[in-house]
Amino acid sequence: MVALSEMKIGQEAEVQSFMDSDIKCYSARFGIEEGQVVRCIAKPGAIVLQKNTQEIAIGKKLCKEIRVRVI
Amino acid sequence: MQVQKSNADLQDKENLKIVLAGNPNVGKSVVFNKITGTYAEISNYSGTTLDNIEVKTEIGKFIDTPGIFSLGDYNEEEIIARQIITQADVIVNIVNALSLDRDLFLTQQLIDLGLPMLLVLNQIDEAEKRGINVNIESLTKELGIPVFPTIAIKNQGIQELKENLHNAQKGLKGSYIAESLKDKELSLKNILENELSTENRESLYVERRKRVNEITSKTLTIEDKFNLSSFIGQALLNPFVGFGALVLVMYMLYQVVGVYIAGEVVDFLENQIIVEKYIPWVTGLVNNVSLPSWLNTILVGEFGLLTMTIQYVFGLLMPLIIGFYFFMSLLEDSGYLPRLAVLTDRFLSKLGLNGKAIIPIILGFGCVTMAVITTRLLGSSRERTIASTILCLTIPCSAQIGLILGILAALGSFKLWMLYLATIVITLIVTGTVLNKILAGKSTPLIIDLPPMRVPIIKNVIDKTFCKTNHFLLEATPLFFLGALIISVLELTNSLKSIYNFFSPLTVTLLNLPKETANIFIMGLIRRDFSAAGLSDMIGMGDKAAILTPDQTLVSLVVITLFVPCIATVIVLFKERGYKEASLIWLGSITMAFAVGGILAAILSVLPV
Repeated sequence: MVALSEMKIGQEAEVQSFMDSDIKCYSARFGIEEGQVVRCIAKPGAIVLQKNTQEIAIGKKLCKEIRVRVI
Repeated sequence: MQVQKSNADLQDKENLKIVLAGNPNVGKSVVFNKITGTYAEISNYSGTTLDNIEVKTEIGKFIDTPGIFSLGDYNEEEIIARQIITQADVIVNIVNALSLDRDLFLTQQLIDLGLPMLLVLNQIDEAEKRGINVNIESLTKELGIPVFPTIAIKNQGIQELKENLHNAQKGLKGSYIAESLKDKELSLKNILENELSTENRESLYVERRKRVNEITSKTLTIEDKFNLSSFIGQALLNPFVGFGALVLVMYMLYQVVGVYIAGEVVDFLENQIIVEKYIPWVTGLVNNVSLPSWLNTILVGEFGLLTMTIQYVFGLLMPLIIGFYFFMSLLEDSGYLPRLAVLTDRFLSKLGLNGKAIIPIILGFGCVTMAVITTRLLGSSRERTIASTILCLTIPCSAQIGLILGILAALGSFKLWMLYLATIVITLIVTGTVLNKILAGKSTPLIIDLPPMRVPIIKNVIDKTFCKTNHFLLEATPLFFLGALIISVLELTNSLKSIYNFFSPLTVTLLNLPKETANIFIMGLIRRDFSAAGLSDMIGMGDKAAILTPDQTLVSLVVITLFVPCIATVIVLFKERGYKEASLIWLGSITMAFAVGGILAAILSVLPV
């Protein structure tokens, strides 16, 4: 398991856990939840994830609070 | 709070309260505009609607609400939206077919309220292009409410929606609510997330997500398709491409607004029409009526209400802001701004903001007053303070930037242009860094949804340009009249010279400028673009001779950019940030303007351009 911020462009990963409940709830609003498979499509400081056709950018600090398993 | 209403009520009820609700940037305002035939501003980024907008029609009262992800109390938009949603007779929930699994999270929460509801599945054309297929029949069955596929921007599906508003249904509530909460209580308080413990909220969210995933697994299929918009969108996330695009946009803006409009168009309108034809005509007309000489001076004197004010507003500023707003509207509708937010996140986080703050900053180049309101989309009060200060201090608004571009183009010096930009950017960085250090608390992290890149629809761009220009003229013209009147009265009472002398330690000694420049700072107290218009006269852009050297012009440009925001912005600032903070920002702007101008003047006296 690594932090979301460790993902490289083109990699896919499954979201494993969130460091705190608020971040978990906030991410759920955007459709990011445990078990969700996401793909890193860009990394210009923030990380840009693709989930189906939706693109979501997450700031670097927040990425450190989300654990993923690279597929 | 009573929210249960039966469908039969709707058939008999006149003046239905129909509330449009949905996630940000799904097309609520487009649907609102098409149904009501009015114009609520629309753009291709989250947070265009920040307040409820109401319009009465024959069918009922339609209310457009800000885009939200949930009916909680995470931010001000959620609180504003939920107040009105819980009072609705009918909820029209708009979802984007491109992000259905995300949007249904709110849909399920709205259904749980137990109010009659309709679902508008918007942008089905875009979804099809990207290989997303939604089974409408199955979705209707799963949610228990009527579903209307639409392409709102092309008016497709809107008529059918209008004809079926009375057929709204209460949907299928999630059985999970009672099971997932410790107290087993299915109450409105729980649905609205009022006083929910973090543990209960998390549990509720997980269960609601499960229910949404169940619905999408039965209704949604996605094929992998190449899509040009997606390709361009991803390319713009590369810092070289993204910032390269920004430089290109700024260069085009400079060429179109600064060189062409401020040069050719303004020369035609201001000089050939207003100065050569209108002013002699109106002066003759007023002179023919025997008015007292003071009134004559106020009406058609050097700072006359019918001469200088008309010349500035219609000859100089109007063409500039039309050009500027047209450009800004293209940018807003393309989907580029949220990508710029991602690219600038790292830089802005050093100023105590996150990438989202680039949206009010860019909008500030259009109108700082509106931009200060837009800071509401930022996650904390601390960020709103920093962003509002940066906006009021360093961001010139549309009319002012049009004039600044025109003045710099008229001087024709690239070095001056770079020095001006460098001074403003350094001031912005220093201000943000200092505020980030001294203000208590932490800033919120960035999490933002990126809309698809789109070719702007020219009708919307024109409508928006017209709407904003109209707003500008209505807001600015009375203030320009007020400013001109004050200066004329000062001149008539011979106070202007005393003021010049009073301010000469600042203007002459500190800034190394002629003492008449006090005039442009008085104008700047009313509106900053008014002072830029005065400055354009002093460098000889109008019909008067130039009295400023290029170095002095640069110092003046920097001071009037950093100088106090216009009266309308100050009013909004007091409302948004409170009396104490707004006063500090206002006084701080004056101090910073003269301090930075003084430092620049000192440097230029040793190292002239």
